[in-house]
Amino acid sequence: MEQLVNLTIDNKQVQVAKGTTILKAAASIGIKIPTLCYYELKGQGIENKPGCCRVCMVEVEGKGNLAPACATNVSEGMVVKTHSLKVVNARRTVVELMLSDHPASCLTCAKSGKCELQTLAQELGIRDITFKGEQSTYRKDLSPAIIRDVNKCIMCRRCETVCNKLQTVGALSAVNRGFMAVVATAFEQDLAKSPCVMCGQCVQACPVGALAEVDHTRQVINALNDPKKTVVVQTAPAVRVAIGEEFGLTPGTRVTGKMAAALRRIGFDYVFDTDFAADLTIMEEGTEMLGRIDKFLKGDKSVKLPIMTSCCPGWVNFFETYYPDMLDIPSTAKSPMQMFGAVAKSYWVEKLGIKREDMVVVSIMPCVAKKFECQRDEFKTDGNPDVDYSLTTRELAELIKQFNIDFNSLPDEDFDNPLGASTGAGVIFGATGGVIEAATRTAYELFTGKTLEKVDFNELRGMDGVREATVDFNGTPIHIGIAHGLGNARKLLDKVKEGKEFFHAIEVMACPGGCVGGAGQPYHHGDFSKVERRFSAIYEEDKEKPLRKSHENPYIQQLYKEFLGEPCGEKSHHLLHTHYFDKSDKVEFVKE
Amino acid sequence: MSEYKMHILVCGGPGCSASKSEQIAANLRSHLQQEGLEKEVNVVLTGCFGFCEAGPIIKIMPDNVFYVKVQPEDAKEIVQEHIIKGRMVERLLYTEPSNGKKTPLDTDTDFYKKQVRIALRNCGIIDPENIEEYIALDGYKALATCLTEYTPEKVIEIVSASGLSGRGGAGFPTGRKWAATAKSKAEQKYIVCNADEGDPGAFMDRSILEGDPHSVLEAMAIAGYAVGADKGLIYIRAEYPLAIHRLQIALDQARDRGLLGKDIFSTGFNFDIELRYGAGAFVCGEATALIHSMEGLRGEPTMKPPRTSDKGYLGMPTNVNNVETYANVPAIILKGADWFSSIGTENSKGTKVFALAGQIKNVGLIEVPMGITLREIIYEIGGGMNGGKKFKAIQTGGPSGGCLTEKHLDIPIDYKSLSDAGSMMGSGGMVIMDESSCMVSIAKFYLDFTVEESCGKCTPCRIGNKRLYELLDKITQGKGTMEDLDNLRNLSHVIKDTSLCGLGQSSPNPVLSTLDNFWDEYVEHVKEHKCRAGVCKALMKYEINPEVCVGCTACARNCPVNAIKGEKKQAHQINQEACIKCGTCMEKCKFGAISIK
Amino acid sequence: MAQIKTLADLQAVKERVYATMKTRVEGFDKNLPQIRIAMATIGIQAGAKEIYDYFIDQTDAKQIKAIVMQTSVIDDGNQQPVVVKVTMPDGESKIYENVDKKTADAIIDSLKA
Repeated sequence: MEQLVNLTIDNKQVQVAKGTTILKAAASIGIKIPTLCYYELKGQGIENKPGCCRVCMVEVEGKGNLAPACATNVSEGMVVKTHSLKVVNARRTVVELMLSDHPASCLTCAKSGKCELQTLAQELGIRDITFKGEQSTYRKDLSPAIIRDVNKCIMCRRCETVCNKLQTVGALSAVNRGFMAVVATAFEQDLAKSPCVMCGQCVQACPVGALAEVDHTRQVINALNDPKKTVVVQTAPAVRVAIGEEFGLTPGTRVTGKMAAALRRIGFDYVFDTDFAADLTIMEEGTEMLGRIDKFLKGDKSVKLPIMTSCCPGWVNFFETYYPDMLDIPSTAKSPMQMFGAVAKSYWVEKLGIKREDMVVVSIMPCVAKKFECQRDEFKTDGNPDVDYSLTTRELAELIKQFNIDFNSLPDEDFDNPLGASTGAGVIFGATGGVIEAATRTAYELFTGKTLEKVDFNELRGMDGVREATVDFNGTPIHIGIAHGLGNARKLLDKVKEGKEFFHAIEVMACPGGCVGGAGQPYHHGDFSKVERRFSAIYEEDKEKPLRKSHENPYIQQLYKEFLGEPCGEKSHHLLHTHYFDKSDKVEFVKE
Repeated sequence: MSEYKMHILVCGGPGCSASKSEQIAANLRSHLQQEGLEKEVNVVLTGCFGFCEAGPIIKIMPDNVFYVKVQPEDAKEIVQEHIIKGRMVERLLYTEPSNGKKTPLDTDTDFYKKQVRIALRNCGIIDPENIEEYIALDGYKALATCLTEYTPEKVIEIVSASGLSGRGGAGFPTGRKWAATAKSKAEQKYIVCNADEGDPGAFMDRSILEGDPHSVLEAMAIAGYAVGADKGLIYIRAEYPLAIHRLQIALDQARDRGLLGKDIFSTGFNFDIELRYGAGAFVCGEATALIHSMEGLRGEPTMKPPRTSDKGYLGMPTNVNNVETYANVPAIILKGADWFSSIGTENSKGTKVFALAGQIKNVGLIEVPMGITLREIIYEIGGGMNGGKKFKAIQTGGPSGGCLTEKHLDIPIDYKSLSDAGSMMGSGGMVIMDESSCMVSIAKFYLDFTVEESCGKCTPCRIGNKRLYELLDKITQGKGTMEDLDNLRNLSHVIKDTSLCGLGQSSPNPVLSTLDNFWDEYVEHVKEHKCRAGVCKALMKYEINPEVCVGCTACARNCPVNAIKGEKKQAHQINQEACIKCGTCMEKCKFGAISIK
Repeated sequence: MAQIKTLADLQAVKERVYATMKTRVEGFDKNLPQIRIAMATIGIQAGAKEIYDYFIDQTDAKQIKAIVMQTSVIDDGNQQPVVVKVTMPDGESKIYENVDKKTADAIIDSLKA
């Protein structure tokens, strides 16, 4: 039996389990104590609770000092006041102090309107800042994907927690003392030179504008207005279940049709879908996977298993940085976004009869790391990138607003063909476990030569950080591992490395929940249930698709017939596969 | 070891070392050798005598004669006169400020008369680099007694009954801390000694470690036995190289003699100690910050609970005490809880070591019984104010403490009375100020320190203290308003109420206590743009009295910024806007025509 | 170095080393009378050193257990040289002025009783 504790908060009696914090006890009776540094990814074992912003301070009878509600556990008979004069004055003063060392550049801030400090100041009715004085000055740091404006850092440590605990990347930590204390990279070097994998979870977590994605909307607008350019857009699966939130819709509302309509109104010449490329990825990656498993089962000792997915750019950066000795294990298949770019700038330009330089490929991604991925040299031909610009879900929402489009009243429209057609397998790429499930659907049929009746592999779905399942390939057990969140990936990888466990295939997504919880998605402000609802929406979308296996996509079949030849053939090898680089020097630098 | 007829004890404390006391010892040895007396007279470089004002100090035993302000060149005379001819070197004797008499015996001086030395019992007597001298003065006997005669519970009972409480600042009962760590169940527990002494001007822990390192090692082993830990760690700032050196020697010798290591006193008890170096951050004196620093993490505090006794170093139960606290323990075990608790006041037992500094005659390190008054410390031990100036304030508790005034001088010092008066015991800093101190500037000085030393983790301490500093600075510039004074007070209270650790919770004390006790002075700065102590440069104005000025041009010629104009043989004038208030003109004027307004 | 494994081992070290440090720690034996001879400039001028040596010789010769030691000015320094202060173990003290060898003998003899 759970031990219960009785206490009084604002004259209301409440009974909660022992070990509950005052914050949660208060929330259970409808008292919302404001917080700032507190950040929880519920169910993912991540809680940032440094108790350092001192915004959630409450008065506990019998204690001289105020107590932080987020980090103080309840005790029997406790009497708590959350809005006494002392509390209100202290809370206000603390926020004023924060504002006194924060640039008042709300009007032009990337987080304006979504900034938790701004909201807090508004809610506390702060109209003037009593304390004026020196403000911190740091340089802005621009990496290919993330911009750090450290002047805005409020030392909430959320980014540090996600970077170190959730992702185990270790690029960010608090530096300096006293007034100069901020969260930064080691030796305050450029983020780009740090072990940062650009997953962007820090951007998702940052309550203010200290961390944001690099804005590429201006470049896209320019391209759209350049008459010489044919502008092609592709949208990742996770965008359609989240972008509605930017227009006031409930999380998990599917707006695929409205999104396609909006993109068309913005002026993209072709509104395509990354899901198409996801199906293509399955053809390539699935074939590669089967090839390796087949060799393995035939006793070839030189074959590398497990095969690991490679669609997530944060994950690719992570293993290039931290597991340089395992570079031959991940699938060589490019990510769906890059496959799309490669196909668009070869097959589609050929069809249109234009030069690749005259085509601009824009991707809409739930992701911050994709901005980096599309800039990688190996994805360029004579300096011209396969994907020119990658926008986040949030940036697309801004673009829609800038183009005076009333999103909610748009009709549902379809993607253009041929690069807009997809199966349910392509859709589930947007959730953790989805890539490996999609691969399994195809691999099963190719391996066994039989038709897969039960398409839903529930054993591969879920929100646990590390999952394992064995899928029966007609008598051959195929052991599969899944991890989302790079810390979980590390756990899984270390097990493999130490030889503790054997897997045939592993799927890794850098962000918690997979792409639905991506760093480029609408800010969830630590309400992880939003991510869970997007997650469910992905599988609903899959269920409604007439075709749910990648190899059944007729346009994919047509592409192979007309252009590529066969999966993992010479042309695909050239267009759709890549190789990886040892980036461990970034870690070595920090260690020194 | 031959028997020496005489011992010359040379203070090797921080102050005396800085004044070449090692050279003095070396010179004494060489002169003794020249006279063939090296077998008869033993020169010992000891820990701090405490009487830093008069350093470097040497003491000759058994004559019990002590010489002050000794220079290396004096060695010859001391050997020739005192040692050989038996005549005291009168010019090196101490002159008692109270009666102007030369005093050869340290025990007769006001400085030592009122002191009770428990934590410093061996400092200035033994050679800290020789474990046998520590043993000769009952060293390691307390450990032996505990291991062979007492149960761990009994040891905790004695420490609890003695009333010993943490000497690092907060004054938490040591016995209770030990009991809590003993109660925590874990495979591994740790004993940590906090030697991260960070208060500006404080050097009590340093003096103990340099003068009597074994007392701390022995106490840590006793604590290990009491709570069930076999591993000790001393967190010491790297800025204390001599203390580190002596600790290393002490550790080696103790291990060599089997007093640390496995199966101590053949009882099966194992205990060993490692040193951990800190980078000198003030906040790392806070137990949780200290532990993080030892773990290789950023030195910043975390919320308590969990207390370190539940979850400390590497997540294991850890008992953290400060150096001075440990140094008391062996004495308590040997002499008993009743003896210790008979010293001191109702709520604070034993003694406290203070570092006396500021405008008094005898600065130095003192150990006094709890309950002594500030007046006794200032006027008897401290020898009264320097230069006959008037006492204005005493700052206790380091940067976290407050400034007390004349009206507080007769309260008996203990943890409670000091905190009731708006200051605190702290780790034992004590700065005495006279009329030449500006209290706004004093508050600003301490805030400057806190701003530098805050870890920056929580908002009120990170930004609040900075804003307090800026407000104080504004007032010392003569630009403050009465509203600023209100803001100063309000902000101080919020910082105290909302800061995460003891540093921020106490950092506004210097502001609040000066606001309370020296309100008029703040108002003067604001309303009259006047600093009565003449400290705030921005509020000072040098003026030439035209009636006294003879036009010699000395001031104008020496002014570094050409702010003084005037014809020869005619009264000069200072351009106040250009003046940088360096005071050169006043210094150069032979006619006293220039004064500060 | 030999390991200290018992209380007796510890005690042995203590006793051996303490013997060499006794005078350092305790100063003179407090149970003995103390004879202090003022050896400030004036005292020395008036032959205090001679008297000091005489005290040492005579106490040895007469096997009187007493501590003979030098000091600077005794009390307020108003007495005439040579000044000697005798302090008994019970704290009682007496000051003698213009001490010569004869008075010294008398002082030593008084201690005999």
